[in-house]
Amino acid sequence: MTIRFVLLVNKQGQTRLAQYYEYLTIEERRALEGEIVRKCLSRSDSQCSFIEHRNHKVVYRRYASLFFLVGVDGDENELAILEFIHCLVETMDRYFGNVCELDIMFHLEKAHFILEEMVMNGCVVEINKSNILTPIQLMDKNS
Amino acid sequence: MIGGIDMDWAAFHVVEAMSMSKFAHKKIGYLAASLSFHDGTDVLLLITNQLRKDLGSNNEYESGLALECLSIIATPDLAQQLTPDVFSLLASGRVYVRSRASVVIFKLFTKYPDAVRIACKRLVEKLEDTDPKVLSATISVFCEMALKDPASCIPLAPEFYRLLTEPRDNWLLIKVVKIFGLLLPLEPRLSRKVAEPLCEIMRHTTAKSLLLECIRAVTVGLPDHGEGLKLAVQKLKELLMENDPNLKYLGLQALAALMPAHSWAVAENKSIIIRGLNDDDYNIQLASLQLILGMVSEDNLIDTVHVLLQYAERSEVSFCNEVIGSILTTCSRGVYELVSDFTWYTSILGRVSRIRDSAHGKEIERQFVDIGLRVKEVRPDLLAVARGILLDSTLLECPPLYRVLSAAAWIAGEYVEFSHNAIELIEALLQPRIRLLPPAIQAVYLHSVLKVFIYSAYTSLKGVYNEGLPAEQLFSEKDEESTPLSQHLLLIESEVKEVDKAGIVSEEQLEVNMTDDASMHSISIDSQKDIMEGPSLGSECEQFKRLFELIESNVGPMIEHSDVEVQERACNLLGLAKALKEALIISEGIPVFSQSSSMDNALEIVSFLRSVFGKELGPVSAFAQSRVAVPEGLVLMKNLDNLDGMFCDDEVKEKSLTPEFKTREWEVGPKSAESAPDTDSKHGESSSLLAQHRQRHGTYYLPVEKDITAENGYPPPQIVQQDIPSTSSAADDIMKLAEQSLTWSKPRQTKQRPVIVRLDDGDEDLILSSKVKRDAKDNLISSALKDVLVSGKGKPSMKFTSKEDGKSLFRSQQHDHNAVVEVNSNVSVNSEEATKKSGKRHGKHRHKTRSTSMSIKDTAGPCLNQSQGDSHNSHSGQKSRHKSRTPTAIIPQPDVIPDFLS
Repeated sequence: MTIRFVLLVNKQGQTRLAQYYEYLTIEERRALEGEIVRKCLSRSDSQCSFIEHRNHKVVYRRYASLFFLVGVDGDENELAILEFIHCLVETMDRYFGNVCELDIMFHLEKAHFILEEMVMNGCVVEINKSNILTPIQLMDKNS
Repeated sequence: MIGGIDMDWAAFHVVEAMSMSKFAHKKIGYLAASLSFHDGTDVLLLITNQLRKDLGSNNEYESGLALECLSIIATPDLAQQLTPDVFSLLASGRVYVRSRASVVIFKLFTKYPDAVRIACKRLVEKLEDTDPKVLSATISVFCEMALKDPASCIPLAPEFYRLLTEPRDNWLLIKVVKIFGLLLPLEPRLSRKVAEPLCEIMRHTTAKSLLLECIRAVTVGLPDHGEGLKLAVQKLKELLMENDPNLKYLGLQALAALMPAHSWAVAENKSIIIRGLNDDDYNIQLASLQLILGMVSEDNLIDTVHVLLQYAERSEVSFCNEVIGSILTTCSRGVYELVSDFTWYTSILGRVSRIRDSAHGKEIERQFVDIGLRVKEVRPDLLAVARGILLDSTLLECPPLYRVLSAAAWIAGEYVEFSHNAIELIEALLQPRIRLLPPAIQAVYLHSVLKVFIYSAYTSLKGVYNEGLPAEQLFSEKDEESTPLSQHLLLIESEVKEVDKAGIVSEEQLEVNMTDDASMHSISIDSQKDIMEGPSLGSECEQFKRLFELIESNVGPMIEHSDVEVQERACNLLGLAKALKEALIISEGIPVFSQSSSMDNALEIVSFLRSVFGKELGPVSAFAQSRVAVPEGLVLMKNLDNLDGMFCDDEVKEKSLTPEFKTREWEVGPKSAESAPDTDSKHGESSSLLAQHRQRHGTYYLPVEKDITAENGYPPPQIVQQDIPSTSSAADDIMKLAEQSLTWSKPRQTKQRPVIVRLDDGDEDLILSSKVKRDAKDNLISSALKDVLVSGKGKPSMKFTSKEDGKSLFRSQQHDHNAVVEVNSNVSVNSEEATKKSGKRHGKHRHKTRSTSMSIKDTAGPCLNQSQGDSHNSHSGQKSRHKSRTPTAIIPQPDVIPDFLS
């Protein structure tokens, strides 16, 4: 499992989206999120985008007020994960039209759907933006 | 759970939503399921059929939903039941489903290892899939498998090689390169083949991620390939030159990986690394620090440490501590094997101990004492450093440095013979502000004062004597007198012994033989060297007066100290000072040197105590304890948990009896031992309580005849319970016991370095080799994988040959998966079947293409796909030919790479 979790967190440290690919109890998740987010928020732009936390490696990237955090295995290629984050953001941008925190708050399921199309069992399966959005747009049309 | 809220209560509604017919509703249901279900969810039993139905749905997105959900919530049961369904989806004509199915199948492998035997072969076939998406997904899966067990993937090396050399997208290449990074160390023959393509990629790629992956693979996989390494280092340098912190960090990490084998690569980038120490980013600073310390050798140690210390003193606290910590560990590595100039190193230790907020007080303390014990030559320097630390009264306000102060005090006491001004040391040790220190450290201070005081008294008295009397006369006099006096001094000795035992740092070996006049002789002769030149009676007298005043005024208040240890030592010290004062000086301050008998007495006491402290200390082997035989009848292994209850009812009494008693820190076992007589004498009540207590809990006490020893050495009952949980105090006890059997090998002379005392076996590394243990499930997967790939790859298993629609067969078998395994293992190594298989293959592929075109009709996709389908068709013939060729190379020699590579 290369990607262990994907977190979207705002500047205040509130989790807006959390997707885990390995099972953790609620308490474990809360603790993990708290510690990792605190570490990330304290870092400046001139610092590198990787933090090590216990046995996790976290690659993060900041877009306006939102932090995208991806927890990966130790062997994962960090730069590839940064690419992935960027792709995720671009996809959301295309779907929501200039995505912002509110879009994700009020269309949480859509954000999850997009993530679901891109990542499966921790592996990146799709990076083509139109391919990712096809099923979701199809669903929107029918409902 | 969604948004951190448990939603197990809604599990059943989720199942309902999953079974709805409308896709949008179903999708929500599945999302909720994948977010909230876990192994413990009971409704999981209900969804098996729903999942199966959706997996087999005509709508690719519905299958996708089920696959997605399964990939997250799969349990061993679900995996076992649904493996056949997912397996058949692997052959689906729709790319969307096929790519996802190959990812999910890996999840099923981890949950249900036997699935490997069923599905692995088809997964391997997917490596030849024409669709890049399916390929990418499959490679991801194999990458995961290689991470778990690289050896099992070696037979697939030809396939991976093909993917490496064909032009592909970077995502795929990264994974392939990563796989080779894992395979190369295991199979050196691969390197010849792979090196060239890897170099090619490094030369031409513009993607940094791919480049980085190649560099990593070269580092671990091609350590002997000069050209590849050179190229990798050059590219790495380019990465480091970039201004991007990410690239810098990753570059430094890659350098760290290169360091053990190719230190030249690190040396080339030295300037960049040193600049990294000044970076804004803590991570980069740390990475640079590790690299720098990794490059340290005996020659550049001094320069490196100076540079690092300069950075440390300027940077913020956490990094400063990090630097100091790593300097300390690096320098002490292998019993200071890197340090050749200990005078320099002690000065570094002194410098480091001035840094406030230091988190390494304990380590500095340990090293101070350790160096003192091990390296004889450096003791004068050590004393000078310790003196500096003690004189700096501002350090008394830094709690993190208290441990350092305690070490400095101990050194001052232990190596006082190298000092030029003992009085100054006593003044430093007795400055009024030492009351700021914790009691344990005050106790060390007092003990050191005792040592220094005795030393200075001894030297002065000796000086006076030498002036008045010829040396031979002095010694002959002493010889005669020593015998009766020794009786009297025995008392003092036992006192001193107690004091010594309790010291935190003092590991003294008190094997002082009272009647050993010879040793006394030698000591007095030794110390003649130290005696100050031409001391006049007047100045001696003045000095004594000052000393006594100092001790009385500063130690006096400590007699009422709340800590027993400090109190006891203060009493001893004061008692001794008073006795000497009476013997030497009458009230008006006129020396009583005329009365030579009292003078002799004083000298006798002092020189005896001097001989007690004159014994040199050495390091104690970590294994010393094992050499001590356990005394008969002493039960060490008994479980004392049930003492808790006893402790509780004691506590109440303690509270009512002695409020101050409770506040004491019982840190070290033997220290508390001393409190037994003390408390007894102080509180007569408590002794009767103790007796009561013994009556009640008699089982926990040693038999009566051993009471003598219990009183001498064992802690009183109240303390027993407090001592049990703390392992550190137990370790201290061991150290004390071990002193009895102290042995160390003769000092070894190495180069021009000073001798560093090493113990015969004590300094062996205790670090156990940390072997990563894979859990049982991983082993199952990899063994199954090995079976399938190595022995069974080319051979069709029954399932594959006999079933066009494998689904129904699996249905019948699924309730007994052992049967499946059996069928699998019973497959005969029959070449006829192998040929039969290639025919079947064709059939399968034809089937596949048919379904592809169907799916195109379904979704009314672009005609581009049509042509893809065609090419697929034309490929299939070649492919199976290729396929049947490679396995034949593998079968005869399973562990050998196919000739394709050689």
